[in-house]
Amino acid sequence: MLEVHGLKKRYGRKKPILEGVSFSVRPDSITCLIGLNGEGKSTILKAIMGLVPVDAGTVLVDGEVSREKIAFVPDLQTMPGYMTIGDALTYMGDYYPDWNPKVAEELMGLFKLLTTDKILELSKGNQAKFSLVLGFALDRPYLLLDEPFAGIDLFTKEQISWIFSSHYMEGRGILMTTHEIVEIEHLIDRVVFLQDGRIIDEHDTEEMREVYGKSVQDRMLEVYQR
Amino acid sequence: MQFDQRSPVYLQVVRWFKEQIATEELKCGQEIPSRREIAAQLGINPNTAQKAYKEMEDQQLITTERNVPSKITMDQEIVKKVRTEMLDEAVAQFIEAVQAIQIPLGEVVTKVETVYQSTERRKIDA
Amino acid sequence: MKQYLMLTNEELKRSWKMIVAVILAMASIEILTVVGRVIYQERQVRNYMSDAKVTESEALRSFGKLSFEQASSYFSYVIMIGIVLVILYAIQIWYRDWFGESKYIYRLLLLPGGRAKIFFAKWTSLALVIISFIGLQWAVIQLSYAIFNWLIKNNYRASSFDISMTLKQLYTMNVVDVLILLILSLFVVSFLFMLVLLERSYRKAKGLLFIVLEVIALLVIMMGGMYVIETLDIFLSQEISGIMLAIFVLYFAYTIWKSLRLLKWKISV
Repeated sequence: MLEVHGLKKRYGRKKPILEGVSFSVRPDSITCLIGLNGEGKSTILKAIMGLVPVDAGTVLVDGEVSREKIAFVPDLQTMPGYMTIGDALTYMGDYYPDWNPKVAEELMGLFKLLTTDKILELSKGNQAKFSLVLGFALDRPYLLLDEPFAGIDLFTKEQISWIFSSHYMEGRGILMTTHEIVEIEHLIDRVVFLQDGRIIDEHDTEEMREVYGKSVQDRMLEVYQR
Repeated sequence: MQFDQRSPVYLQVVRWFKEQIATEELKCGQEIPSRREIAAQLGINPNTAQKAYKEMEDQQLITTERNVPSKITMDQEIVKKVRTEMLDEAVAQFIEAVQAIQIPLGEVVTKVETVYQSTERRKIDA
Repeated sequence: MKQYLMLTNEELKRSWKMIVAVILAMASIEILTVVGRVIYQERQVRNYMSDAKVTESEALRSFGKLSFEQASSYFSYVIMIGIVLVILYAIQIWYRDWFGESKYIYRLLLLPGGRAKIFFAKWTSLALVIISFIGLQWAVIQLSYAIFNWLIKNNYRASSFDISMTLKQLYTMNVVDVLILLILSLFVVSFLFMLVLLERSYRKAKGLLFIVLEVIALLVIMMGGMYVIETLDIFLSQEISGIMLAIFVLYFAYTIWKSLRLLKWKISV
């Protein structure tokens, strides 16, 4: 279990962006953090990874304070501009003891990516696919994905969402952020709604459909039109 | 497979299997894909596949023994029950629609017969 | 350790083109100024001879002969430019990871193990650049001195100097002096790193405030030191110089300690 307790964060003198955010991500499941743009979804992921300091709050991974069990895929390129995909994969293998070159190679093939391509010259869709390779090829029980579908055409979206119904999901708890849920909602186990720096609603998606007869999208509209 | 996002995905998967059982596309005792395979095939979360299989086990539609692929039940009674259940469901929906526009039973039955037969004929022609 | 070495290699790989270009440009500018001075002096003497109709020795007497010190007088400007470039590099080596075409800082901060290796990889890159800069200056002076002697006519050359004097003006090649120079440069680098990391941690007003405070603290320490030297220099005993050295070492250590703490707890992507 990945547990987030009471995260608080304020930038400068502005209104706090996180006012005590708590939720958890179960192993072997997909949790989706939903919120409008600028609600602090990305900040939560960065805070979990220690990429921004928080004013209060703790993050526990299977009961320990350790980030080495979490992989993070931000929605921007993190490899130096001069690298090719091949260079970047070698780099990962050099630095990460839990890098799995076999998975990387399989996913490269499935996504039809070429090691000779320069990362910054990739199309938006291929950049997103390559980022997912970097995340999934780390043998870590938790994976955070920041807006994995943002700015991607429908066709690529389908190619990408395939991975969430594949065996690469085994042994992985996923936390992803998004503000558009429609095409992927049947993939998600749990949704967490964020507004004004707080968690305002949380549901198991199947339970929501079974008990309330509502889709995540329905609930999302209700929540954000209040 | 397209899903209705307002009803549980795992129940839609169960229903998808029931249809195939009723039409005998899946025969008694036939092996079915593993949870992992069905998740990939239908594009659903592996947890949902697991839940659907669990539900089918509870309804005795499939049997699972350790270390062998799950199989469709050998019990003909259950297969019959699935057919009846699906027919009941379809008829109930139909009746509801027909009653809403207040058509007498005789007219409905005649209409059902003609349309049913002409659709069958068209199917054979094609 | 292995990761630290790999990261240092990575840092240098990202800048080596720029470093080599700057070093080559500086070396050629310096050598060209020496050559230019020699040619310019000869032409002036020749022109003066034809205009004023005087002999070569009379012309040389009124113009003066050219010494290597005079011929290499532009070196100090080039060295100044070099120092400015090193300072800019010390700042750029951090900011490029935030504002470059990709956000490499995410990757760096997420690497397994501690974050100190990021700091020391960048620090080592700077150290290597500074060492090659000093080495280059030494080589350029040797080379341009040889070129100067080969190019200039014997009677045009002021002979009342020797090379070690010239070198002493720019910097001595005494091992201790070079070491002091290197240590002072690395202190400046560490101080700059700390300022950059303060800004990257607190941003905007708060970041600026901390930077100003650190600069004031440094100035106070430096002025205190100078005051002690000026007022007590005759009595500058071993104890006092020992104490001052200790303060310097402690402050140097503080800048590194502070940077590492910022990197561990306060830094923001």
